[in-house]
This record gives sequence, structure tokens and C-alpha cells, in this order.
Amino acid sequence: MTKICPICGYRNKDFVEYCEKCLFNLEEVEELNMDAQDEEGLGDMGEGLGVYCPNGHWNPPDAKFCQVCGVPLQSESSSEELLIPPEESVDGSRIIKNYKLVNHDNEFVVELSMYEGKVKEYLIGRKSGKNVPDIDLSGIQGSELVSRKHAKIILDGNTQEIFIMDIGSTNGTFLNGQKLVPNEKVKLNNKDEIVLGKTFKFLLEEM
Amino acid sequence: MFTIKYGLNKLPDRGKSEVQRFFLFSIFGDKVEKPPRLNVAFVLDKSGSMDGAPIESLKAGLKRALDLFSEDDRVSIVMFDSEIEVLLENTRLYGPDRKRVKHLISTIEAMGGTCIDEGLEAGIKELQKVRLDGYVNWIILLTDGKNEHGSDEHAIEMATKARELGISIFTIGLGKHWSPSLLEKLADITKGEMFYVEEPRELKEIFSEKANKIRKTVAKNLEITLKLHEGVTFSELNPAFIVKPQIVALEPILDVEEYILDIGDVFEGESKDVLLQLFMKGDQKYLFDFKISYFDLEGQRKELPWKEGIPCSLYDNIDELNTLIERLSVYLQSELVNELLEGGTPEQALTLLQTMQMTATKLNDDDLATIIDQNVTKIREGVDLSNEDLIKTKMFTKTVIKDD
Repeated sequence: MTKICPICGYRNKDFVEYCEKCLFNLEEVEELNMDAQDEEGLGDMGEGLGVYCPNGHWNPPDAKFCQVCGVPLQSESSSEELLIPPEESVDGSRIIKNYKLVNHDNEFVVELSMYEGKVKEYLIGRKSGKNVPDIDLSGIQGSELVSRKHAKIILDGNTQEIFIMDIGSTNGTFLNGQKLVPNEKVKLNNKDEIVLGKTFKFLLEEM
Repeated sequence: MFTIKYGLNKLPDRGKSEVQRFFLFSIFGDKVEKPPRLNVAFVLDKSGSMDGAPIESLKAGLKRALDLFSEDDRVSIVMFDSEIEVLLENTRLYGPDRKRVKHLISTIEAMGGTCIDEGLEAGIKELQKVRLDGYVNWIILLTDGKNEHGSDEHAIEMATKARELGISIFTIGLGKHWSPSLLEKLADITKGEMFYVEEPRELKEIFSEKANKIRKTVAKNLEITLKLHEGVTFSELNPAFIVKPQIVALEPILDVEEYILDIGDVFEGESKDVLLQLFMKGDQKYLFDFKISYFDLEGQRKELPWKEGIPCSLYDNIDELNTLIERLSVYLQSELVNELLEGGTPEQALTLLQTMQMTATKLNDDDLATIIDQNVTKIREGVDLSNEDLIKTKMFTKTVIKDD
């Protein structure tokens, strides 16, 4: 048995935890694979990563057969991905508004509800091991620069307002092109454009 | 003089027959009682491309640095273009001399090509004009270009010779046209460090900074000798690295049953960390015996007693150790990216770059994240990386900034 490193292709001894050649943390991938409920091969690794065939040859992500030795490759990652909104226990509170966070190609859609008299916070980020944020952007195109804990969306059912707050992300949060000051909440309006970490863009839509 | 701490990233696992572990030595330089005497050769580029702001800043910086040398120190200056000019032979600086030397510096003019190796050879010759024992011996090398009129092979031979003599090199690259791989090799072979200077005006400070750093030497040419216990082996691919302050690959030299790691000098207030990649049995109890030897500032070789039977215990700051492993992973992956880009497989390079991108984000290192980000964008668009991109990538992956 060998462990093939998914990023450099080195055929490792089966007991290693890090790739001996490039020190990629192989355990993290295993953990993510176990966590992953879809067939996305590499969990956190993002798209466009490429795949290694069982013989260690590298192939582009959309290849169905190895370009070198022709063996069939495991099913490629699905690009259509709908994130299920965080489970909300409805304890009789009345929904007063619904919002949708959506990116340009509808690859990412999250629906959030505002409840009368309640303040709800949702953490946006990328999962790290077993820590999964409320809105997990792992593996979605453009999310590579999103921090593990990037920003919060706050729905205030008292004032009927929705806010965003950068929580000290590495690459910043931008609202309609303006960089947010970390840890200061800013009110959002319908059709606002939000960019997380330079490359992940989405819109807020009131439903 | 210095304080050592060490340990593993994780304990072995009895449930497994074999495991992979990382072992860190952290050697911290304590306060110097009596600072060392310096024997420094400046080996500086005066090729035509240095004309204007660069050469003027160089002159100003050099004059400033000379004020840091006392009458007990030795200093020499070698200027190179495609030819060599020994501007100042190895000398002690007395009051009136200082004036003469500063005047000499004012006469430097930039012209001609670049021949780094001949400059190094002349620099080593100058340093050797005194008995090296009683000094800390350094070459401070500056260039703004590739070694067009010289031979890289010869430069590497010279660095190897310097190391045998106990001389280290600070390599400084100015601007965006020098070769990061050559300057890295010269620094790594001699257990020096490499630096990047983006703007000519920074030359006014850099020579003084380096002279001040050399003055903080607490121990020279430190070596760790290891006797591995049964069941423990080094990774053959990546056995050992200096991981702080910069990443330098080490080749453990096998001498009968002992491995020797040459880790260079230790400076006051700075830690020099060495990471080992080891394989061992799942029920391993003891890892190795080790001893440390070094040269003190008077040139006496000192050997600390063997420490026998280092047990499998954890390093006291696992987060720090894990961060160093991540740092090293980005460096190694970046090396592979260079190979893949040279080999014409940019798609595969992207796979590595995207992983590096995530690690850099996790490390909260903005400089690193930005350059990797930029490289990803260029490669996606099919644009070749510029020499400047390669320089920055090398510097930001190699230099391990302390997290405070």
C-alpha cells in the first residue's frame, strides 16, 4: 500500500501523516474526506486541482481517464453545489423576511430567514478539520482566499436590519468595493455586492 | 551562550508498527558578554546597471557601515564588474585611514558587466590575510544582476571553499534582475542568509544592519552530531532543515555511525531552529544521543558532553512546531512549482500553488499570500512568471517571520 500525495504525486509509505516530499498534511485530507458528504474528492482543496490516477500520474480535474496510462479516474467533483442553509429551529417565532446570498453563476446559494424579535448570527468561512462554519465556502471556486473564520452575517429581527462584520480575515471583506474595518458591523441593503478575500463575490437579495 | 530546547511534533503510536515524526531543535542565542572581532569582506557589484541611484546609495551605505568597525576589526572591499578591483586590502581602520577609505569609496564608478565568482574568490583571499581563528569571518555580497561574465559553477566552488574555511556569506540581491537560485545557493552552502533589496535607497542601511548582526554572534560554526537509536531513520528525501530564521536544506553527513549537521552561527536574541524528518517504530522509546560542538569567539573549538537517550517527548510549543512544518511545506511546494513550470506543466503547478495559497492564508502571512495569489492568477492566464515574481516568491517562502 502506498499513499499518493494529491498535490505532488509522490508515492509515500502508507503510514505517513505528511507527504515525505512536499510535507502536505495528508491527514487533514483524510479527515475532510470523511467529513465530506458529497463526492468531492478533496474536500477543502478547491476546484481545478487536478487528480492523480492510482499509478501516480497527474491529470486535469475534468479528466475521466488517465492521460498517461488510461485507467479510469474516480468521479470528478460536481460543480453544481447547493449549500443547505444552517438548520434553524423554528420555535414558533414568525419569519418576517427572507434573504438570499448568491454568487454570479448560482453555484452558491444560501437562504437566511429573519425571525421576529430574534438576533441571529451566521459565521462565514471555510471549514478546518471538524470546525465547520455556519456558511461553509470550502471547495467553491474563488474561495481560496477566504479565511477559516472570515465574516459574520447578523440578522436583527428587532430592527429588521441585516449586517455584515469582518472578523479579522486575512484578505479582507469588501462591500460594494469598500474594504470593511474588522469587527465593525455594517448595514446591508438589497443588491449589495460583497467580496470575501478578493476573489469570492456574492450578492444579497431580499426575497 | 545559548539555550537549547527540543522535542517531537507528536508522540509515537503503539498501535502502529512505524510512524513519521518531526523533531525540532531550537537554539536561542543568549547575551554576548564580549562581542567578537569582525573580519568582513564587502564584495560589491559596480556593473553598469548600478549607475545612478544604486551606486550612490551603495557608497553612502558603505561609508556608514565603516563607522561600525573598530580598530580591532578587519575590513576589506572588493568591487567587481566583469573585472575585479580590490578597493581596500584587508586592513584595520584607524582614524586617519577612515578618511582615506571614505575618499576611495567616493571614487567608485559604475560600469562594465557582472562576474560574481571572481569577486568571491578575491573576497576570500582578502579575509585569509589574517588568521581566521580570532575573528568572525563574513563576506557581504551585493549584486543587481546575473553572473553574466562569470561561472555559477565557480561561484559555488568558491562558496564551498569559504565554508570549509569557516566563512559565511550574506547575499544581497538588489532590484529584479538577479538570480534568486544562485544567491540562495551561495548563502545556503555557507550557512549565511539571503536578502532582497527592492529599492536602491535601502542600500544605505543594509550594510550597517548586517555588520551589526555579525557583531551579535555568540557561537560560530555550530554542529549537531546525532547517533540514532535502533528503529529510527532519517527521511531520505527531506532529512533535515534549518527552519529559522530562513529555510535551508541540510544534508546530514554520515561519519561512521554519527550524523553531523552543520547549522552555522548563532546570534544573540535570535533562535536558530532545526527540523528533522524521522521515521521510527510505533513503540519507539528513545530517539538518539546528540552532542553540540562549536567555535567560541576566540576561535577555540568547544564540545558539549553527549546527551544520551533523548526520549520521545513532545516539543513544548506544538503550535509553533506545526507552523514551522507548514512553513516548510510552502517552501518545498514552491520549489516543486519552479520545477514544474520549467518542465512545462503549469496545470500541475497550479495544484500545488492552490494548496500553498491556503496554507499562506492560514499562516496569516500577507506578503506570502499576495505573491502566491498573483502567481496563481498569472499561471491561470497563461502568463509566465517574471524574474521579480521568482525573487519575491523565493524570499517570502524562505524567510520565516517570527509570529508575535
